[in-house]
Amino acid sequence: MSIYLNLTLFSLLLQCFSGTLFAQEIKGSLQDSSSVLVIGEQESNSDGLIDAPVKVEVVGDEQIKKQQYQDLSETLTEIPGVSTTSTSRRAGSKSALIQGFGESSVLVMIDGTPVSQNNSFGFDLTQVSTSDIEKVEVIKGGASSLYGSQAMGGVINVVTKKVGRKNKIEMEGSGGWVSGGEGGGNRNLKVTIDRKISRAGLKASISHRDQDSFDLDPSSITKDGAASTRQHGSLKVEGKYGRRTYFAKGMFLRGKVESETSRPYSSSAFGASLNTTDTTSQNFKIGTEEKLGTGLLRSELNFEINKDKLSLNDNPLTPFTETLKETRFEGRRLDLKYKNFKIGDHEVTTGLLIRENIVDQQTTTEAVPGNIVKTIDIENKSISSYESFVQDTFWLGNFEVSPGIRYQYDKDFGSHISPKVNLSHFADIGEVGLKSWVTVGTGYRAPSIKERFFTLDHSSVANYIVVGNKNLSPEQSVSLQLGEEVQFSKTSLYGNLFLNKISNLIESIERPGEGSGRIFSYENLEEVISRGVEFGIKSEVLPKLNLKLNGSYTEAINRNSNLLLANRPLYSGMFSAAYQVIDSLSLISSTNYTGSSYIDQDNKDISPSFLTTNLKLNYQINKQLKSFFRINNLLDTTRDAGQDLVNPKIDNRPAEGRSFFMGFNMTVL
Amino acid sequence: MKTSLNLILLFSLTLILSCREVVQSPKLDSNPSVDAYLLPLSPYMGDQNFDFFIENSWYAYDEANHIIWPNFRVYSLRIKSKYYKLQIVDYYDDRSLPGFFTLRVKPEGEASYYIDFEAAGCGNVYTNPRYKECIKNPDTNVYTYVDIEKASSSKLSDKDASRSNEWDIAFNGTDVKLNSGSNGPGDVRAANLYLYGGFFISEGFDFQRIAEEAFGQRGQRFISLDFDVRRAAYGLPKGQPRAIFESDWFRKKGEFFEANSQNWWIIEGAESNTYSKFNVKAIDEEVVGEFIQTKITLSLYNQSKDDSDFQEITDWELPSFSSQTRLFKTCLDLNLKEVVKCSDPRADLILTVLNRNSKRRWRINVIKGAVGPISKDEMLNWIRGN
Repeated sequence: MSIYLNLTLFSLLLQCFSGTLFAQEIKGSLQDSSSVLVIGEQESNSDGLIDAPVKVEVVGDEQIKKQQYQDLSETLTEIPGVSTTSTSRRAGSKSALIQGFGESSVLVMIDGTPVSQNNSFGFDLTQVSTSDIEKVEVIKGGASSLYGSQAMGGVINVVTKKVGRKNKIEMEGSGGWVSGGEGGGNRNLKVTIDRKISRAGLKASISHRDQDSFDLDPSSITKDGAASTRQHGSLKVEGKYGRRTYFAKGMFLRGKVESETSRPYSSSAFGASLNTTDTTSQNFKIGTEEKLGTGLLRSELNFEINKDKLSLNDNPLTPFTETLKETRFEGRRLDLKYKNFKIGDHEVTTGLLIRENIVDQQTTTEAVPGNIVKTIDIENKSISSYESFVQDTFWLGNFEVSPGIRYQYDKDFGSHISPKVNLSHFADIGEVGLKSWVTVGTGYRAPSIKERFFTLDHSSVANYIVVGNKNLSPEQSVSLQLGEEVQFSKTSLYGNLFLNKISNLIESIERPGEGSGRIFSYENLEEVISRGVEFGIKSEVLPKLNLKLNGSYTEAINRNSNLLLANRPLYSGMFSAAYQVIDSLSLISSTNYTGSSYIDQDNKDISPSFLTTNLKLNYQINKQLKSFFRINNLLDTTRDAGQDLVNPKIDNRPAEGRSFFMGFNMTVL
Repeated sequence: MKTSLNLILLFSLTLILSCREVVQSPKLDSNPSVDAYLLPLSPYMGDQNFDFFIENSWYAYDEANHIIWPNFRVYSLRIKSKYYKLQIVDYYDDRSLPGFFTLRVKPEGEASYYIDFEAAGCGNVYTNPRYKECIKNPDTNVYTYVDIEKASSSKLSDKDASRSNEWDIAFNGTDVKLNSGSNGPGDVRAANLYLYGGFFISEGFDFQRIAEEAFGQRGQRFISLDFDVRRAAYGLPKGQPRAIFESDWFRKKGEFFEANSQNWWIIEGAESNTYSKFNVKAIDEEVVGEFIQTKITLSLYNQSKDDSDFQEITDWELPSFSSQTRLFKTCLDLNLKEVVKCSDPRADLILTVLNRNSKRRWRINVIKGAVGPISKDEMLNWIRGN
């Protein structure tokens, strides 16, 4: 810990002295960012990526509200090449896939700070409520040196809402129900409070979401949808004193999911099984930011504690918990960045990251009344690493060149250097604006604590047991992105081709054995190629009518077996039409297509393709009050009703069919 | 610009040409026939000793659900020349506690019946808080001993069981033992009759299919199949690694050995389609000087390769040998009743006599395999060897 304190003090000291050396005005570090739905629009924001020298796609606040997105996973549905996958390891949870890379290789950040993937199910995107999202930014491919080792597949950065300049309270209540099946109702409440206190500002945000369990076929024991409660709270204090901004942010996430499945308790008894996963995440960050010379110096100290409680294989007929797995993850990070300082014609960003992760895991089993057996799975396991980077950007005629290099040191795997370069060309032909880009990036990722040491017995839900592998090697990748963006009139379109070669990709692989066939361990796949194309078109074809079409083709192939990786749909697409009927009324129709995918590494079983269509209506009643209404899954596309089976079938189609959702949003000044 | 566009076009073309598809692979037969997995049985056992119930396990462990699923394998038990088909159909009681067995037994030509008993043994660390102490203590780590004919069970110490004829098969958790060989004085032998192939998928068990059977008829359709239990391959007892084991064909009487002439074996000849019913009719011994001279007479019914069944009984007096000879090894062609070189492909049996340290040790090894020991009556029921 002492090294963190020393470096923090050093950083603060540096900033104190810098005040006497530099006299530039502070500007823009806390400015409100306007809501955007753009591809590659440049915008300044100290927590954001949008000033990154590579292509950034953004879903802004206005779009989030119009589309009535409730959590982070929903906001990603309109970005081509990004898909969310439901993990059957935890009912209802979702993780992101970018260009064929899974959760471990996609860096999820909140205000530039990575969230941990080290709980039992990875980071569940549904945990983050849109109540505190200003915008979501996505970079695809391992193109930039600015982000850490986990960013091989891409980066998802959530920019939370800024502390407002005015006192304001915003409240939103909504709820929904499903037309078929049994259950499935949901209720949501969001409250955001902005207070201005002297020279400081405070923002508090809280969100509570409740989802009932859902069953397509009540005659079976197993239920198709899990009951869940999700809470997201955050508190921010920000103050500008002199030329320096001080900030403290606290965030609390809790997700409790209760799924009801069926399982054999013996060779002659089949019954209901309750499985509860209760995950909390507490994140606390303090830091300062100030203009230093021509650049911006930012230092942050971040503490994160994640706790998992997984009650598994619970027989509802017994008063005790048969198996309880508890995991505690603690992460500490010190992040120093000196951003966008000028050296001649070069704009440079450099930074240093020091982090330490500690994990404890234990399992308590009570197979028969009173016989409690505790097993320590992981005892105070610690991994520390250091990373530093330099990213340069300069112009050569119409070419913007962004070379960068990232150095990583891991206690167990030693040093590694990853160079990357991005080349963009800008041209105008008449009123048509063109941007072409080529990016070559290398990536390196040491196995996480989870991949090395975790064990997870989630057999009763989906017959999964996942075990860590202490002998894993780091992943290495080479990524090539080649794209073209065309803008004319009120239309823009772009296409991006990508080719990623990953050595030692870490995947959970089914282990052959005598078990019922769903025992997984993390293994290195010698070589995986992911390649494909993604495109997006958006246009205002008629006044007040905006159309958007996105699509992607992604194949991720294990070169050793020449088979496709599991749970990665080859095709996905989205079409949306938004019509502003009158100033206070808008209608949106959006249709999403998810292609079929293999659900096993042997490419024998598939989850079928599916199409969902949502209709949305937004109506502004008056200046303070607006209402919204939505029909989800209009075509009533559902998976086959879950049956009481020893080996439950994996089906990625939605559990809930046609459903209705409505709510009100009120702002009090 | 041009280069960039060309590259994009080239890359797109390559991609389009090589686009993959997600295609459903053909599904396995949803209800494979039970008869399809009937295998031709060979009753002849070689000189090999293994743990029969490990090699022919009665259960499949479902690692994900932590359940012992009986696989409804059909066994045959041969007990004092009587035959019983046996299935282990459950391992749990009504409260899903493990170690509570249900056996389905069907004596030859009679109706089937069930035997229920507890044989959890020490359990495991998750079910027994005193597991470690229990496993070390011979008074608590005990088998449950089952008398198949009486359909009864009892707990005995290993020591008592090793001297008792009041049991046939014993259980301790998933472990099973038979009353024969070093386990006890009985003559119980077990054979594997049938295991349903539909329970298997490429890399292991199809637990869904096993579960459906477990919650249904629990393998009734397997035990109802028509098997010739006499033609099953009965495993050798524990501690008796030879098909013609010493204590079955001779015993000690004073300083001499005498024949156990009530036991018979059917020998599969080394030459194809040759068989012999074989019995040690007599062992005649006398003292010559300081040593013992031995003469062994065999009774044989032979079926040579051109015969359709066994021929008349004949006797064959083997060359005599003396305890003076340290090692006497002779190879026998039963069909031609000739002593042949051991390298001769016609050799059916090897008789080895070792005289060292004032101990006389005899052994017969089979080249291919043998059925037995069986009684004379049962032997007479064997019309043909094949």
